[in-house]
Amino acid sequence: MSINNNENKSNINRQYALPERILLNVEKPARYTGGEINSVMKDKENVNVRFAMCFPDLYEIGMSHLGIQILYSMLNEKEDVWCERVYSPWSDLEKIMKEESIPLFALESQDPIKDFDFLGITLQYEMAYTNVLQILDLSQIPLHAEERGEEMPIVIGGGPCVYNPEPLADFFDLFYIGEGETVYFQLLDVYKDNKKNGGSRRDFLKAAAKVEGIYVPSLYEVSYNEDGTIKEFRPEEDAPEMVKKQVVTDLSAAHYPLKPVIPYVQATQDRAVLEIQRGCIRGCRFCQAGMIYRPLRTRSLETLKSYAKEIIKNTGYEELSLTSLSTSDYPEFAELMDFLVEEFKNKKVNISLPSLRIDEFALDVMSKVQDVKKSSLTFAPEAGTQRMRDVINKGITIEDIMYGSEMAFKGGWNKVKLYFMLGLPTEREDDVQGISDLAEQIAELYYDTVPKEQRSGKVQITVSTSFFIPKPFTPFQWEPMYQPNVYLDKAAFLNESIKAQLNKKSIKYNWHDAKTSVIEGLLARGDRRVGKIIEAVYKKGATFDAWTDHFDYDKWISAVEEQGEDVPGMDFYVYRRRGTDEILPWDFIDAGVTKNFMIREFENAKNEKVTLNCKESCSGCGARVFGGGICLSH
Amino acid sequence: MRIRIKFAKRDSVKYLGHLDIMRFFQRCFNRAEVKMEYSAGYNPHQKMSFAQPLGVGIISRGEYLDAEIADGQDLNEICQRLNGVCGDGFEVINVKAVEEGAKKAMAALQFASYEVNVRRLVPETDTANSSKSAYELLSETEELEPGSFNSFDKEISRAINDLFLEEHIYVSKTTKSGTREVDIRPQIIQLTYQEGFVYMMVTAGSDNNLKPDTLLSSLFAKTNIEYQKELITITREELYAEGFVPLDQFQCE
Repeated sequence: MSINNNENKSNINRQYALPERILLNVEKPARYTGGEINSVMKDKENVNVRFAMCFPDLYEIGMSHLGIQILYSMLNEKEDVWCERVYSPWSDLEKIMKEESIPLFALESQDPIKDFDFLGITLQYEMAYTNVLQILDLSQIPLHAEERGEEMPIVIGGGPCVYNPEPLADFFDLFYIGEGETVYFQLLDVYKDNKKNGGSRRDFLKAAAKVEGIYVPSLYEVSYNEDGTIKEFRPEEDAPEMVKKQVVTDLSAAHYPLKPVIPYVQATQDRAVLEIQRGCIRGCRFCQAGMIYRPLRTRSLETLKSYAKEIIKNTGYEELSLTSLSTSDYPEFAELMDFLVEEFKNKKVNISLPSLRIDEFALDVMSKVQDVKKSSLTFAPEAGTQRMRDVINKGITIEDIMYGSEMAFKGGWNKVKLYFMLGLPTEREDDVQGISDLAEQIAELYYDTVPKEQRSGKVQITVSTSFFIPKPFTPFQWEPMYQPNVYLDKAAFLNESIKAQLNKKSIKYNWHDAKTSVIEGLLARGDRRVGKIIEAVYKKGATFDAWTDHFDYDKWISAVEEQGEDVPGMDFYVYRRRGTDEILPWDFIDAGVTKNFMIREFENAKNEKVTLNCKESCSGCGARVFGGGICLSH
Repeated sequence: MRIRIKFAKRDSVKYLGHLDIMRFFQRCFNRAEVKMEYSAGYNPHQKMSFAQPLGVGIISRGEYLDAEIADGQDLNEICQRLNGVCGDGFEVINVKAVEEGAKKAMAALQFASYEVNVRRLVPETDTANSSKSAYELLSETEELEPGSFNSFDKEISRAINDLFLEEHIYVSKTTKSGTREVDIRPQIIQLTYQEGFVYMMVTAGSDNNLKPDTLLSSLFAKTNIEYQKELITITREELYAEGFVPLDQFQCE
């Protein structure tokens, strides 16, 4: 033991934005210290653009998100761009940072976000909106875009929620509508040119508005009718009237992170992720993702095979998750699964398939890759009666469900999870009863299918219901929601009904929080004026609303109610039926799928008429304009 | 075959918890394509065990983990490959084969040595006409100025002597089953001080472990110096089996 052994000590001592006395006093300090395997360090003196990419939720949630990994890896491939990451500090650290005025910092350099060129925030769910304000606030960036000086970062939003960005319009300089792989570098070039030419922030925003897919809210003016609906949505000067969503046409050629950042702290999704396709052929009428990601585009089988091998080699993960909507719709699914099972069977790598439609074939695959005894099967019939399933265009029948269940029971599963929605358009009491009856039928089927001596205990059926929330760019975007007590009555009715079933002991029932659902509804379809509500509730201390124990409904309602007459309330935004001729806040976005298609689908829903999926027949939704994916096969 | 891996945990990963490090090594073995042995059962996992979890905030030059690997792999190559995939925060120091029938590292472990940098506890008044703390001055000159620590040095040295004069040193220890008084005096093997560093050799292992923090609290309680945890740096130097044999030299080939 000697004192002069400094040479032996590592020179790779990172400097942290937070002093040790803070790091040692917050939960999981490694959330804030960066330095993970595959994270990217650059010399800040040698880059032109510093980009902070933010997922406005806890590190463990944000690190589970594929989109950030794609953009992080893509942006860092450019030599003169350094993209870093930032997540929401948990409440313990938030408090300290506010007390001590410590500015929010990026994980890699530990430099303050306010010194960056860009702050990109992904908007994955509405209940993270107060966290967006928390990020800006902690970064010491003015909440309102119009109050930001020349030296402040350009704040840009992306992700599925930008299909109605209006509630956040005041807080963002730009929104990127659509898939990030397409015009980011074009946008950064515009930024660099503007900087080189000595242009102002305003000059840049105007130039950025000319990049396809970029929406600059400050260049648009909204006026309202006396009834509160939108009178006019008008671009200033030469900003485009419609902003066109960006779509990757050749997914196999698009950038993919083969060396994703591997968190030290265990992420919620602690596994390698392979996105096999984007979009969905199904056209469920409640599903926003199914509409906005149209058309379905697939990665080639050969690409996926090589990516799978490489990602597992580079990360050392013990699990590979195939991600997409409705995974078994992948055209060469059987070949892909055979390859993966063969490739990884001796390497102790599990394959997980989080989004499968349950049919015989899928079950066959599942039994190959999953441990039947431990895992449960998840079905999402979404509705309890055939009538209701036809209304929402969930193209499955009772026969499909019963056949799938029978196969599952014969395959050895005895745990089944069933997902439904309550409060769907046209829902009647018998539709709710239908959920209970379906659960009972499946329970009975188990006892009929599996002989007594082969049963390992009771069948366990878990019924979960969420409350239907109408979303922009869906055929149900004009529909009203119910008051929370009506939802709770529906849940109570279903609960009673399940308790009256013969196999009630085999059926467990969970339902979502109704109050969270109506606030999500408010944010999903709000207009610019809703920004005032979000700001008010943030100032009351609301953050992490997506976390059940943080969400405070009363704060939200009082924030809604204390607004002046120029901001309508819940009745207007949530509980009102909109007319199909009304100007909707998101009408300026060209998402491919046309309003005519959605009106047509809305009519089909009311007539309980099923629309064929994209593989069976083109329904003329409008996504064909992108000239890619499944549209080309018709 | 069973191997014993000695590794260092550096400053940049000192905030990781034990479970994070376990998961990290699992994936390092995978990335380094080391052929591991797996446990049987529904959920096979790599057979590996650590000698002793290291507390959050502590760095180490002597961590150990035992792992079962398939026979016939070159240990030097494993060492190199692990270093190639473990990033800047960790360094694999050596990989050795453990003798047949030998105790696992966690069972063989008896003692641990720590180096504790307490220089930042030197009060500002010890430095002549400067608003900077002595520590800050030190990091600028990287040399100890003789005499600048005089009173501080004397205080700690005296406290160490006082501590050794005690027959019993009782501290309260909180476990799952409640709080109880424990005599840590027999757990202190060696305790010395030299120019801003406290060096200690203490008992370690599953049932006779003395945390450096516990000892430091008792030590500083005997001084007029405030024990500010966040200003000290604890480095685990080495883990030892019986007879103070470092674990990589104990029943290893």
